[in-house]
Amino acid sequence: MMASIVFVGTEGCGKTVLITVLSKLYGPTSEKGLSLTPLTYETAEYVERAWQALKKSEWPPSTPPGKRSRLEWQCRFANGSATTLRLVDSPGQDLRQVFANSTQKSQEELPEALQELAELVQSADVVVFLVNLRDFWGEGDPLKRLNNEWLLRGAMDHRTRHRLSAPMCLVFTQADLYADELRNADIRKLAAEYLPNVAGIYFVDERVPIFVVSAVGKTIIATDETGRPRRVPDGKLHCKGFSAWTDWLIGTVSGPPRAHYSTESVPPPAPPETAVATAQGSDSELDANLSYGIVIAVVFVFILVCCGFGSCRPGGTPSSAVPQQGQHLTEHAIGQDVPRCETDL
Amino acid sequence: MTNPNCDNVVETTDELYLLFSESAEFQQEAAIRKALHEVGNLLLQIRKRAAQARQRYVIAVVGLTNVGKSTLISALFGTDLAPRRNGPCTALPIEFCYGAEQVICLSHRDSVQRQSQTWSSPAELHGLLERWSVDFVGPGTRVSVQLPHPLLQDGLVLADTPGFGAAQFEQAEGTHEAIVRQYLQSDVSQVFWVVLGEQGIGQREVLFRDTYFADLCDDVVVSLGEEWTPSEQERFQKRFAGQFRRSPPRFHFVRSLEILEAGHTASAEQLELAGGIQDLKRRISDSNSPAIRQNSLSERVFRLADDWSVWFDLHRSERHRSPWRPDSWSRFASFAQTTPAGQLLQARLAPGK
Repeated sequence: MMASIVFVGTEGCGKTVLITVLSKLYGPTSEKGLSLTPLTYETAEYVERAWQALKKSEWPPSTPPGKRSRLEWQCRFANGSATTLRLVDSPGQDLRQVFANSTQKSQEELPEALQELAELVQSADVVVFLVNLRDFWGEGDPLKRLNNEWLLRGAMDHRTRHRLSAPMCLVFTQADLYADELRNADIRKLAAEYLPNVAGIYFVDERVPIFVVSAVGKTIIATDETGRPRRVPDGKLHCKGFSAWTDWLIGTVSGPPRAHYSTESVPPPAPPETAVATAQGSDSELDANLSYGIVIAVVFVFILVCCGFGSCRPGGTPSSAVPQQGQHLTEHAIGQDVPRCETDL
Repeated sequence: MTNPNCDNVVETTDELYLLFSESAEFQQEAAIRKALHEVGNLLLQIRKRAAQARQRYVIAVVGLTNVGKSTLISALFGTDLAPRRNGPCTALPIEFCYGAEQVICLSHRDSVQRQSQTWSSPAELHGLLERWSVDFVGPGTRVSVQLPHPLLQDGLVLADTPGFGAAQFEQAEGTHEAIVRQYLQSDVSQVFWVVLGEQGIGQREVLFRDTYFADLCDDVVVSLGEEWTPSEQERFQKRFAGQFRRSPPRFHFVRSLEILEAGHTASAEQLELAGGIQDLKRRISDSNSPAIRQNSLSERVFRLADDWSVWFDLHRSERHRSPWRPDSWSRFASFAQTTPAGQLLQARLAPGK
């Protein structure tokens, strides 16, 4: 039996940084219940390049649309089970074609590659929706905000079309930039305020947990080559908020079944090779005219192939996974070349 | 009311720049967006000077050909140090900086090796400068003259630049003018703009100033061949002040050649007093102090914040109570709380104040 995890996020939500920090935080020798070992040189190089950039207070270059990198990790859990984690990214036009309300077509109308992409998001065992608060707090155009929200709503609707309790979570990234807003805030109320059309359907109970993370921990201001100030990582990389999220992720994929999920059988997900081919093949099918020119969204697909499990069970207690006000999470030990994971946001 | 000084002008302007530029991207109202961008660009100029004010501080003497730049520098030093370049024969800026001995150095940004030679007389210095600035002309080359002059203490550098716009504005890289443009943009902290009193300030000079150093120039040095009466000086200022819409410069009326030719005599001292050089030296001394430089820039930041507040109060509407992007304002407010100057700026810029 195999399992897959899909990450979905728009451009600029910090996918590359998140992936880099995640794979460093849970590196090959990690003893935090999860360890990630690159299986290919390309994977190791991808992470190392981004990591070195972050340590030098630079942002890693964003993934160019259309570029296909196949990144693979061996993923080992505390119970000794091993899986393969694969990452494929797909241009944002795909996302808009599949999920954005204004361009949404029925699955049958989509090009074949996009049909498979849509299927992947639907059939994955876990979907992680990455959201940059800037797209809502920092977007002055109400219509663009709505468009961003409906992209998320469309993806969630698609995800739950045939399976209401399909495990998924929302991760607010770059939390360090919103420290004041998030301090002492009820994150679910906050999400409801800025994503009302999503909240009305998905946040009415705690079925969809919400996490808040900061992969770089803190930013400083430095000038770019033209002398203009901009925010860059401080280079210390004291990431925050990862514990709750990864605990939930690990628990969902490998943990014991939870009461409110256990009543529902989980259909076997698509074999990973098929899923990878979906994202790879989508490039040639792009319709650039439908990009809307707002934010180029990118799907990051993590395909987690669980080789060692008899069954894959969604789990984790969403309510406990959401960091509560004042809650202290386990601080991870740090090494010389791994990010420090801090508890407070 | 005196504003508290920003101890960290660079950091403050950085945060303000992000506030204005991010809010400009957020802003839906075109007029407000344009104004936010305008303030952002002005903040960039202050930031550039603030960053340079922390390092070596270069005052460049700039002007068209044959307006008396080298003569002015020589008059400031009280000796004929800067070679007078009657034509565009040399292209390298010559930097005068403090040194215990009289040494001339030639360096290139791509090489750790420097050529240096001691000099003992202005004539010897002129010969070396003429030879080097012809033989080694090229982007990245720097000629510096060290001398133990009190005006240059505390790291101040006075730079003599070749005449700009001798023929036409040449845009090609590697030309003399391209070298000067590059120098102004990357090395210079402040500009003394020299113009000829008899000719006034022409359109071409204004274009030159606006294009290359408007943000660096607080002082216009009017080079005089003879004594002007105070009323003539006042008339000159009134006539040309309109060309400096945003920040009117200080005008200095200087009789450099007369002072230089008088040499070290009693009449020279009198001439210095009467001929505007003393005033200019005071300006240099002020620039020589990092604290004074910071204070001046800090004042400029507060002035800009005030200007913005006044403008926005006039243009705000019920629909636009706050010009700020909410999260940008929140980040700025967090930073501003850490210093008295920041708190004051926050109070002046606060939405709905």
